[in-house]
Amino acid sequence: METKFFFPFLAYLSCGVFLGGLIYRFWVWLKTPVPLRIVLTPAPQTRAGVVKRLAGDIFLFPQLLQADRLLWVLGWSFHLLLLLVMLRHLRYFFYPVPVWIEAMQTPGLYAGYFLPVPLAGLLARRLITERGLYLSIWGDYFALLLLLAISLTGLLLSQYFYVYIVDVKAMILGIIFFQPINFQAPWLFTLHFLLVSALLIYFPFSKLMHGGGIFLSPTHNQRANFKQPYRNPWDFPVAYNPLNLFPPEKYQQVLGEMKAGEKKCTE
Amino acid sequence: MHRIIPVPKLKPGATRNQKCHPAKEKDMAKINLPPARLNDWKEVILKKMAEVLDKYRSVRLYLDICVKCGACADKCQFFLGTGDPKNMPVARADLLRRVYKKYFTLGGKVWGSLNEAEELSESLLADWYTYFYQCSECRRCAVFCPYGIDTAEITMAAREIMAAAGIATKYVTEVVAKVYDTGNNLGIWPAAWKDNCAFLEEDLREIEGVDIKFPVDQVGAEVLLVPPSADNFVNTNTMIGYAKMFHAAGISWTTSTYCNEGGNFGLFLNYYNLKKVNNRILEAARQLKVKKVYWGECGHAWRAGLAFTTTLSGSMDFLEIPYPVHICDLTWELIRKKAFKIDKTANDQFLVTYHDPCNVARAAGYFEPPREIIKATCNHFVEMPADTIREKTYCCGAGGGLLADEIMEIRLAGGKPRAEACRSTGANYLATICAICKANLPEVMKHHRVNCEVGGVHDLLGRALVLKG
Repeated sequence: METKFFFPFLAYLSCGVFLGGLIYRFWVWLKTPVPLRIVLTPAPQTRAGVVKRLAGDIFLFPQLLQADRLLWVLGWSFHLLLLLVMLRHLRYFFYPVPVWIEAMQTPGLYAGYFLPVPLAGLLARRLITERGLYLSIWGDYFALLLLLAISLTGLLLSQYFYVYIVDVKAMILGIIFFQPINFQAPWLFTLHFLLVSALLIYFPFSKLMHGGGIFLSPTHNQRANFKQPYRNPWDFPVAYNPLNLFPPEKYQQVLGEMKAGEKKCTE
Repeated sequence: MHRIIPVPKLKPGATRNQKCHPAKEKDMAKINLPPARLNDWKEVILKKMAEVLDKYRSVRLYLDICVKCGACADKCQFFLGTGDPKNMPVARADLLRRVYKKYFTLGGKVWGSLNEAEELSESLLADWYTYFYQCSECRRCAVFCPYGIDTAEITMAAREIMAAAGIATKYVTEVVAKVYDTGNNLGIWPAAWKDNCAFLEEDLREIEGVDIKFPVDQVGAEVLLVPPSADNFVNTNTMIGYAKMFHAAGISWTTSTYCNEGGNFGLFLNYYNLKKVNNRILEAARQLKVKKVYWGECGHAWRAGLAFTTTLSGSMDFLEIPYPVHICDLTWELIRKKAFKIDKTANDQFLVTYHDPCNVARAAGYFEPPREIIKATCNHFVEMPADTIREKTYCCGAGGGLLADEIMEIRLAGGKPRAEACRSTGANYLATICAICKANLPEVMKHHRVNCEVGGVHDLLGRALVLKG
């Protein structure tokens, strides 16, 4: 179809909802305090250690490797392949294309061939195993099917259906620089773009926020520096209980101090 | 991955009827909670839930970012022992998550039960009561979760929320009430505590011919020891171990009848009681004008003491050591300085293995001092399989307020992985530094027919110390 404003409108809508939703979710999480130190061994002592731990978490998924090797293979390869494919797509957003993005073209292409495989594996896991069937809800299946559809339509676009990518790039640059142009859209491209927009809109309202959430996970980002004090912003005093104090003369004295309002529990 | 016990098939509802007895009215009143379930429990619960979601980032975040991968599912000893799917950490958290989605998220209001949003009904509340008191808050699941989702935080939140509506268990609430009445979890009045200490002194004098003191309420002693009260009445060998250690090192020490309990059961109930119980430790230290406070062999005490004391109970700057320290730190330091004469052959009849209590392992990362003490006092030490110790340690089966007789089945099922791990080493003495573990593991070993004694680490020291009398 011939269009000028459809794709820009969809892009601005989906990116707007995505960014706005992300900011909102993070704002809600960030304004909620962490009252206590709930570290989880192995907990680092320094901020540098925390950075190292979180970096390890997002690049290697070490806990998953210990927990369930098959799931680690599926989950890690999916994330890696998705990353390579997305890096390859960056070519549409830059003119001229930087060298490092050009270098991503071949790895990204091959990654795209294999991307449906771990997705299908994860979906199968949720349909076949007893545990997967018990735990999985609509949101789990939807996310996987959406990603599967995006990767399959993308694969078809790059391999079987001819799309004049110079036109695509011009259209996308038009979106970025707020200068929409006329674009002849093949139906498969429209579908791919629609699915990606749906993913962006769905993202902030779903479990896909786990990507950002991990940085705020107290069990992973708190330091085990127990020699330093830690403050709870909403801490409140609790009443002092002087029962069975010793010796009897001390009990009377403390009771007197409590009645005079001098004694507080946190003193 | 080597599996110590196989993953069971799902048995829905297997433990649905294993419930703790409900709390007694007089206990609830003593601990600042409604005496019985309120008539408007649903409104109160939702209101408290909103408050908890605004106060604890962990609760809100962990309800949001779980991707239902199921990695945690077969890591919980209660699921492994019972097969009830709601004991899978992810499904346990889902019990709270369903209500969260229904009342607190846009998606839940739009999609409803399609995306697991559920109304807070009587039957869901019954499930909350059952399953949130079948979690020992040991956090083993958190170790295997890619984001560190801490199901214990969810369980604690659910218990706090239920407590606000007058719903709690008899075991947890009566123990907290006993602390406020008598200073400890077992309900031992000061006179009885002093009597028992005198009795132990007499015993040691008669049987071993050594004059060792068990001081109580000594103002001006150098050290305040806060043991679990069970060490003075049940695990007396541990108490004897402490006393012998202080005697051999020449350190003046005391216990306090105001606070002779490390084990903080407020940790299993709500913030108010967690704080109020923990405050007693520093208060006792101030009253007795000691220079140092040492936490004894108690798991929950060490988690609350180490991680929460400065937050809950104020600064420790009035002490010579202004941060929490464990008795094993002192003992190991003295062993390294060669302050003791030790005869390892006194423990030769034992093949010792060490059980990391869950809170000590995962909240405090405290692994080496107890092991070093064992190695210094015993000739035969063996470790259990690597994925059952240290931060992956299995709960004894009765932490988090689960040491109640009415859920014995759950306790024994939960302790099974630990029993099997112990069996695989052939050990006949399981050393550990937690009073709840010392209480549950003997039952667990007996039930699963593992021939292994359970005792403390200072017990072994007490046996091996050579005292000049």
